[in-house]
Amino acid sequence: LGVLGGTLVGVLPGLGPQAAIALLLPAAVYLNPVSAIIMLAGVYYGSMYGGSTTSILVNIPGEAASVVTCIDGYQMALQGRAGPALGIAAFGSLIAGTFGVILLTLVGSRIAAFALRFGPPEYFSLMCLALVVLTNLSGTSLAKGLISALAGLFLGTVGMDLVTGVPRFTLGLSMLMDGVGLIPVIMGLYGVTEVLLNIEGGLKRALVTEKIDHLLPNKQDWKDSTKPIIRGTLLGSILGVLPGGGVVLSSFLSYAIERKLSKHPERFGKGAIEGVAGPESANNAAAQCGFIPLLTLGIPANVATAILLGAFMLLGVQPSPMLISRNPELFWGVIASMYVGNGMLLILNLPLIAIWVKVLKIPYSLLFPLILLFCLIGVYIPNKSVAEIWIMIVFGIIGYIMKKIDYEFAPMVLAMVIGPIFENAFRQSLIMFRGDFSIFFTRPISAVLLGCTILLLILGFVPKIWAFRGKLQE
Amino acid sequence: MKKDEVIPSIAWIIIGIVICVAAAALKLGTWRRPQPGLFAFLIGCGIIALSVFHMVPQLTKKSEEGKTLFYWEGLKRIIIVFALLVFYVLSLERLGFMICTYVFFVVIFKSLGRKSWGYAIFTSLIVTILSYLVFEIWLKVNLPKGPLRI
Repeated sequence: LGVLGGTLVGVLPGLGPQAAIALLLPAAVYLNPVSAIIMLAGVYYGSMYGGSTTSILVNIPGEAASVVTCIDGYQMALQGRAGPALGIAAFGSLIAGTFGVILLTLVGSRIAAFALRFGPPEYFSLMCLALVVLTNLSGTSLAKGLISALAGLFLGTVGMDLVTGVPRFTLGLSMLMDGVGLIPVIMGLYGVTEVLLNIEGGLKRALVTEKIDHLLPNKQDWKDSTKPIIRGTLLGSILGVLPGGGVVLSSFLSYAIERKLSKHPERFGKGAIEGVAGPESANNAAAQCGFIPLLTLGIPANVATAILLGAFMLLGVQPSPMLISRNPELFWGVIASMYVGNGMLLILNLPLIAIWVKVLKIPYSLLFPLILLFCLIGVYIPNKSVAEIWIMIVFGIIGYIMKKIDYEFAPMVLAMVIGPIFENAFRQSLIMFRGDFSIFFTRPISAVLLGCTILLLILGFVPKIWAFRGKLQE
Repeated sequence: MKKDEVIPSIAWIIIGIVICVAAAALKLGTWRRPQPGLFAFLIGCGIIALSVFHMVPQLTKKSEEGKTLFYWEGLKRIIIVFALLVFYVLSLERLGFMICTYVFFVVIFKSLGRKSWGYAIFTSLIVTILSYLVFEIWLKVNLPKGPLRI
């Protein structure tokens, strides 16, 4: 159900995995934690696949990782080869996704065992790294991304202070005592904002009119795609494990590598199947491997897994190195479901492509009020609270303004979810080591993680400072 | 001066100052004994510092000519949706799910979709009944009833 629901929402133009998880999150609250998490994980990788369908058929990426798929996928569709493009994306996703799950099965428990050595300083440094990596990947300006992340950290502090019990930044509103709700924020940012941005430019959309057949790639397609799929899978698996990012980076890098290695780089951008096979495999492997830091460290690898982490918490499950020993049925249940889910993705999607195309043909004038209705009711259902709808509307407007002024809200969402853990790790470190900041640099794991963070910040900021200095001298 | 970068930066600086003031009111404590406001205070300082860092180079750059962030036609559509969302929240518990949803869809189809009255009335009715069946009957979600009592 998760995979199917995820693909259905992922197929809707403009709605990516984040919106898919957000829209289906309220339904998950009614299930038991294991089933709910299995469903939401399915929604995540189902919507990743659904996103590639919109990229290929209408040139609208469901999310950032599918941007590269648009380049050659849409060109293939224009040449009447939408079928093989969708087919190779599905097969590539299956192969890469399964490899990612195997990796998770093999190394998950080892990483969890290693992570038992982590104390508050290590967690603090790891989360710093996660935030900076994601910020680096999510937008054009590092400073803007970091501002967005800091705003998210601030949102994470709203509510009752866990240590002293003092209410913080609640504006006297009782609905904010437990903090700013995750569901209304996500629905606002990824549901309402997307609708506002889409209707601003009018309600017309490009539609696929050609009939799609011959979904199975032919011999030549397979010959061209095998190596890109293998390379994409390996690349995505390595980058996906990095806390803070990997899905977007891996798809872009895979495209660049395939183009570089190709004997005919001029074919890229004009419908080269390698340009679909490589990036699609890479982003699916990275998406699956993103579960490694999430399940073993409790650190999300990207925004979608950050929302999943929030969902885990809503369901009373705290991902940590202890998850495997305390909640083995959940950990291994999720992994087992991924094997089934990846297979289901292929079995369901290839025959259902005709239906997905029909979904794409729903006029936007009918689709967007439906999305808004799902958001309104989805936010209302969990607590039967109108106040949560107000929060959603406010964040819908905030998201719209942020997009207009070119501030990405992905770092904000990630920071908001990990904010309470981040603050806790920071305060515990200071209390445990009596306000001694050197602890972050003298403990080896923390020092390496923080060193990487600082290096990334230097690499991001120094060129700008130099450019500005040069301009001043001129 | 690049206005579309400088004005948001100034807004962020103000937000940062407000956060710092509100956090300081909660007590900051010391590094050894951090109090509830310390973390938020550092966040506020970070926002101010980064906004200044981002804003300063923009002061010497020129705004792109002809670039407008908001335009009236688009903004009008957004205001309509915003007003409808506000209507929905304010009247959901008074008028109930059925009436609210029906009015919401009719107004959207008429004002934004520019559909005929017949289409708006009929399609809204179908959508409302279908969503009622999905949420209330199938998913057994207890939605506000309003005067219709269904």
